[in-house]
Amino acid sequence: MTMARSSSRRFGFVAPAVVLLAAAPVALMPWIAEPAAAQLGQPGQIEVEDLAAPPAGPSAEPDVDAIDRPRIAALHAAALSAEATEPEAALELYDRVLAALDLLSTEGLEATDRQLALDAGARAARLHDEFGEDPEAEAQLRRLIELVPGADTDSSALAELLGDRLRPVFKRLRDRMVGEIAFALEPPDADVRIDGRRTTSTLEPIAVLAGDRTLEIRRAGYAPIIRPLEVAAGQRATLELELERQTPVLRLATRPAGALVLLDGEPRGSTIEPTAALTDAGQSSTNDTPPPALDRPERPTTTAPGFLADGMSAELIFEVAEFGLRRLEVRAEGFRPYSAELQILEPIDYRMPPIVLEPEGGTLVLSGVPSDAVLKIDGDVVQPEVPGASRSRLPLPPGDYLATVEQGSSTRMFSARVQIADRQTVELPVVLRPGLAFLGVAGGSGAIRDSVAQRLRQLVDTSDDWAWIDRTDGGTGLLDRLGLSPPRLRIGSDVDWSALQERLDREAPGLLYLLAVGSDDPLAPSVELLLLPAVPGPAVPSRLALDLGGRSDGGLFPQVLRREITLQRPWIGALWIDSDAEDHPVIAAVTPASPADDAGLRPGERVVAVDGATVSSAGELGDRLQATEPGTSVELLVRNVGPDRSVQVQVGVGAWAAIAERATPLGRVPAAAWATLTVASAESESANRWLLDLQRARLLIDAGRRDEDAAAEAAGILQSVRGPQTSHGYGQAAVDYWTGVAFETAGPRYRQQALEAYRRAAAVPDARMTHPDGPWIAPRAEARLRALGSPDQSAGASPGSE
Amino acid sequence: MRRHLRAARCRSAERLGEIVCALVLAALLSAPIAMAQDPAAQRLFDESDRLLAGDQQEQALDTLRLLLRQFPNDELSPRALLRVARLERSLGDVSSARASLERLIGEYGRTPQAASAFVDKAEMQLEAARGSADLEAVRTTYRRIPLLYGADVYPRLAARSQARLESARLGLLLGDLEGAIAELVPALEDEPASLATGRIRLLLGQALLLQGRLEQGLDELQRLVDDPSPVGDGAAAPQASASDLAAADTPIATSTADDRRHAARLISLAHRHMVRPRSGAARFARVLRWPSAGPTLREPIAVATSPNGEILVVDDELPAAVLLDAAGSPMRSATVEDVESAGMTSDGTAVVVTDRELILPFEGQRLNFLQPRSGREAPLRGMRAAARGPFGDWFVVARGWRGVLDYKSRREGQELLSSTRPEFVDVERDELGRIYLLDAENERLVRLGIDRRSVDPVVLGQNWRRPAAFALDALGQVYVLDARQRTVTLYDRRGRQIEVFGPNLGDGIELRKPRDVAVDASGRLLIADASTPFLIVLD
Repeated sequence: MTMARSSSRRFGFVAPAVVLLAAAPVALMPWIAEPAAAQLGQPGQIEVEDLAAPPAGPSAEPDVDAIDRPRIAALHAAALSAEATEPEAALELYDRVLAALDLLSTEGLEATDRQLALDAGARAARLHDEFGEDPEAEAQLRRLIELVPGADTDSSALAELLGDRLRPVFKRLRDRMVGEIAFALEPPDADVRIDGRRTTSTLEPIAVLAGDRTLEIRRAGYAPIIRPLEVAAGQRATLELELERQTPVLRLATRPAGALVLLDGEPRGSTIEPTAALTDAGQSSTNDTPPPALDRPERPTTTAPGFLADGMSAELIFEVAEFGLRRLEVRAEGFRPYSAELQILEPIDYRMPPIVLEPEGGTLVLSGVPSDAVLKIDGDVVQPEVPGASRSRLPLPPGDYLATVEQGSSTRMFSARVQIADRQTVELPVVLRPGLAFLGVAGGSGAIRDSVAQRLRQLVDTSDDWAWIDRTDGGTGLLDRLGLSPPRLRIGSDVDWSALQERLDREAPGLLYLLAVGSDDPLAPSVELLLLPAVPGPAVPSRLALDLGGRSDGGLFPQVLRREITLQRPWIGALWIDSDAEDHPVIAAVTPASPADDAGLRPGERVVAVDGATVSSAGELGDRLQATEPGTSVELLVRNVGPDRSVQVQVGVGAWAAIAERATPLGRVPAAAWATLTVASAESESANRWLLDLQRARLLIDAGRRDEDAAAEAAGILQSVRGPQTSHGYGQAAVDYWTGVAFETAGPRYRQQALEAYRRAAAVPDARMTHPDGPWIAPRAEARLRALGSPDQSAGASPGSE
Repeated sequence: MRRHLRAARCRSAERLGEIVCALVLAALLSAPIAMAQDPAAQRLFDESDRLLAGDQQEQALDTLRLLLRQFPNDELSPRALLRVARLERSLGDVSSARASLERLIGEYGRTPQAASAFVDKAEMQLEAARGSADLEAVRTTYRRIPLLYGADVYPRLAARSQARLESARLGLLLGDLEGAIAELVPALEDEPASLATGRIRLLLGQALLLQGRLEQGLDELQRLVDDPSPVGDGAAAPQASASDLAAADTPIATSTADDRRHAARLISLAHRHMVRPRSGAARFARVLRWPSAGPTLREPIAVATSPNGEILVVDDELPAAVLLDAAGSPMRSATVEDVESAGMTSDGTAVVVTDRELILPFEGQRLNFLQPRSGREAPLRGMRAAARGPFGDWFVVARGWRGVLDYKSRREGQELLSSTRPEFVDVERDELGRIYLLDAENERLVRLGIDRRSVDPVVLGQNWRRPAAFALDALGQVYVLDARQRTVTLYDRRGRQIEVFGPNLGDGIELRKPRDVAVDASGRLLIADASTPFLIVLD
C-alpha cells in the first residue's frame, strides 16, 4: 500500500496528548519535546490522558529514572493505532519511542525494551519504505541496529516486520555494523559496559557495534578493568579476563527493604525494593544459593533469584575495606535494630543470611473486657489477638495511645492514655463507665473556652463516675457544624433537640452530651452548661450554671455526676400530720400490715418522742425516722387517751427512687438523671430494676408533654416493667398508673390503652404513686379516668360526691 | 406533629362542644410568627414602666398605645397590648379592655400573652356572671386555654396552670366535685413546677376532703406543708420563661407561705372534725377564753373569722370591734356602736353591720344601700347581716325584707327569694364563694343557687327554737346557733346533725346569751355570748 504524504499535515494537527508532551522543554526531554507531528486519527482509542508530561526543571539533566516504561509503551501503542490512518503521526511517535529507549540503553535494555525498540524501528523503517523514502528507511534500520546490536532477522518477528524488501537491507547493514564478542570473565557476575552501556549478559556472546569501543568491567571487591576494544564487523572475538581481587565484599538483603546498613557505625547504604534493584542493577542482586549461617560467611556462588520471596529486599553489596572483626548494624524505623559481629578474614564475598527485622512493639492487655465490647486505639477499631476474651491482648508499636473500650454505642466506656515501650506489656483493668461526650464551648473568648473545657474535664474526672469523651472535633468544630450558635443555645426554642440528639448519636456518640455556652460579657461570672441525654432519653436539655469564680465545690454540676442512687428508705407505713390542735404530730392513717400497724399505732394518736427525743412536728418526726436504718427498731412515745405509752416499731424498707423528684440535685437535671438511671438499669440485676425503669419512664413522660414519641417510648418501657404485686404501698399499681399517663400523653390514639391502665391502677385502693408513702393512686386514677371521659369512672367514685 | 396535636385537641374540643376552637385556631395560625425588637419600642415600653411606677396610669396607657401604633409587629407588642387591656380594666373601661383582649388573641394568638388574655377575659366574664350558665361559660374559656396553648409549644406557661386551677375552682363552685378533681390531678402532675403547683395541691387536698377521702386529702395538704422547695413570693406571679430550657441551679418555688399556712389550717380542721372522731376522741379538747392576754371584753355579741386566721369580735358594751390574731391576742380595735353582726371578707377585711350601714372599722369606710325598687332614694334600714359574694356583690338580710337583698352597688339592689316567705336572720359565704342563708321562719339553712333564683336546702332544722346565727367551715360543715336553746349544733355537709354543744361547755362555762358563732380556719369554734366577758373558744 502506498500512502500519499503531505508535509503540510506534519504540523497541522495537535492531539491533546501531544500538547501535554510538547509542553516539556525541548532541550531537557528530547524524547518527548519535539513538536507534535500529526493528527491522531482516533484519539479516542488512545489513552492520551495517561501520557502526562514528565516533570522537568530548568537545570535538570535527562533523568533515566524519570523515563516511564508504561509511558513509552503508550507512545508505541499510539503509534500503532495511528499507523493506518495517520502514518506521519505514527512516524513521529515511533521516533519518540526510539529516542526514549536510547536514553534507557545506558543502563542496559530489558528484554521488553529491546522488543519494543525492534518493533518501533522496524515499523518506522517500513513506513518510510512504503512512502518510497529509501534513505530514511535505511537510516531508521541503522538506528535500530545501533540501539539493539543483537537484533537479528533470524528472529521471525523482526523478519516479518521488515518484510521482504527491508529484510536484506537490514541484514546487509548489520553485517557491516556489528561484530560479536564472547566473554570469559572471572568472576562471571562482573558488570560489563561498552561505551558506557551496560551489556545484558556476558554468559553468551554479545553483539557489539563495530569500531573502537571502550570496555569497562567492574565488580565489587575487584580492581576494575578499563581498556579500548576494537570490534570487527561480521567477526567474533573472545575475551578472557580475570579481575584482580582486592577487598572482601558483604552482601545482604533485609526485610523490610529500606533498612539502613552500617558497618562499624558508618552508613554503607540502604536496601531497596527488589523490583527497583532489578531495574537498576539487573540480575546482580539475586542468588539461589542457600544463605550461609551468620557466623560462617562463605564465598557466594552463582547469581540467581533467591531473595525475592517473603518481601525481602534486593541484595545490597558493598566492599569492606579492612579485615578483622567488624560490627554490622541494620536499622529501620519501627523495627528493632539488627546487629552482628562479622569476622572478615579474606577478600571474598560474604553473603549474610536473610536479615528479617522484628517490628518494635509492646503489648497492651486490657482485662475485664465484656465480650460485646468494641476496642479502639486512637479512635480506630482494633481486634485483640483473641477476640471476645475478657483479657484482650493488643500488640502495639511503641508510642502513646488512647485506648478505648466501648459497650453499647458508648453507653458505657473505658478510656485511658497509655504509653507503650518496646518489649513492654502494660496491663489495664477496664472499668466501664458511662460516656460523657463533651461537645465544646460555644461563645466566649478563646481563653474562657479553654479554661471552661479544662475545668469541666477536671470535674468529670474527679467524679470518677463518668468517662470523658472529647467530641469537640478540634475546638468548636462540631458545634459550628451543627449550627449551634450561643444565642440559639441560650433560648433553645428554635433548636430541634430531638434531631440534634439523633445526629449526635451518629456522629459523636456518648450517653450524656455536655456543652457549655459562654457569655458575650467577658466579665460574666458563669457559663451555662447544657446536658442532653442520648436517644432514647428525653430530648429536653437541662441547663445549669458553671461558676467561673472557682467555686471549690463546682456547684450543681459535679453533684449530678455522682451516680449514687438510693433505692430504699426507712418506712413504717403511717401518715402523720401537723395540727394546730396538738403539740405533737398526729397519726392520720396507718397502712394495713405495715410496721406501724404491727406495732399497734392507730389514727388520732400523737407521737410525742422518737427514741427519747421529743418531736413537735410532722417534719421532725419524718426526719428522725428517715435517719434510722431499715431493719432496726425505734421507740415511739405515743399519746392518746390515758397515759402515754411506749411503742417499739421495727423500721421496714420502702422502695424509693427520689432521683426523678425535683427535690434532689439529680432530679433537677433530668438529662443527667436519665443517663444515670439508664446505666443503673443496665447494671442492675436486682429486683429494683423495675424501680429504675419506672423512673426512666417518668422522665420520658415529662419530656413527652412536648414530644409524643417520648411518651410512647415511656409507655413501651413501662409495659415491660413488672412491679411488685401489693395491695398497698408502691408496686405494680404505680407502674399501671404511669403507663396510663404515658399513653395519655402520647396522644388520643392511645386513649384506650390509657383507660385500661388507669382502671387497673384504680382497682388498688391503697396503692401509692412514687414510694410507699407517696400520694394515693386510686383517686388520681379515677380523676384521670373521668378526665378522659371514661364511662365507668364512677366505679371508684368517692363516697361523698355531691 | 404540632398540627397533628392541634387537630387532636380540636377533636377533644368538639367532644366538649367547643366549636369555637377551630375559629380560634385559625386566628392562631394567622398570627405573626417572626417578630423583631426595635430599640425605640423598648424605650416606649420602659417609659410605660416608669409612668406606672409613678402611678400615672393614663399616661402609661397612652405610651403603650403609641407603641402599638408605631410598632405593631414588635416583639414587645403583645406584652404592651396585655398591659393596655389591664390598665383599661383597672381604669374601669371594661369595653375597651375587652376589645384589647380580643385584639391580643386575634393578632398575637401565638404568644404567651394571648393565653394570659384568655385568662383575663375569663376573669371579666366572671365579674359579669349572674348565673350558672355564665359560670359554665367562664369555665369553658378557662378550659380552652390548655387546649390551645399546650405544653408541646409552650412548655412553661403560667396562664395555662392558672386556667386549669380556676376552672377546677369554678367546678367546685358549680358543685362538680368530681370534675374539679379530674382537672386538678392532671394539672398537678402535668404542669411544670411553679407557684401554681402549691395552689393546685391545696385545692386538690380540700376537694379530696370534701369528697370524703380523709387520708388522701390530708396527705396532699401535708405535702404542701412540708414542701421542700423555697417559699415563693405570692406577689410575683409565675411568668412564661424566655427559654424553654429549665434552669436546674435555682430550685423552683412551688408554694407560697400563705398556701402552706392555709394547708396547715385545713389539716387542723380535718384533724378536729374527721380524725379525732374516727379515733373516738372529742372534737374539742378544751374551752378557751379569749383574748388570751391584754384587755378583756365585756359583752361580745358578734364574731367572725378570716381565711388567714384573724378573728373579729364586736363588743356591745365597749363598744368596739376588736381584731385578734389566730392565737387570740388582740391586734387592734375600733369603736363601733349599735352593731347587729360582724363579718370578714375573703380577703380578710373586717366588716361590721349596723342597722343602717356596713362599717369597715379598720379601713375607716362606711357603706349604705338604697332600698331596692322603692322608686325613690330611700336608705335601707334594719340590716341584720351581710356577706360579700364571689363577684363583689353584697348580700344583705334586713328586717322588713323577706328575701335577701343583692347589691351590685349602693343603688343597684334587688330582692331575691322573697316568694319563699322566709325570714332570713343571717347570711354567710363559704370558702368557694357560695352564699348561705339562715331562714328562721322555715327553720332551715339554704344555699343560694348560682342562678340566684332558687335555693338548695342544706340543713333542715329540727326543734330549732330561735336560730340566730350560723357558721361554715372549709369541710362544708355547718354550725347553727340557737339563742333560745343556748346551743350550737353541728351538721355535716349533707345536713346530718353530728353534735350539739351547749349550753354547758365544761370548764365552768355555760352559754347564757349566745349571740353569734364562727369557725376559724383551723376548726376552732368561736361563740360570742353577751353574758361572758370573753370570747368562748372550743379548741
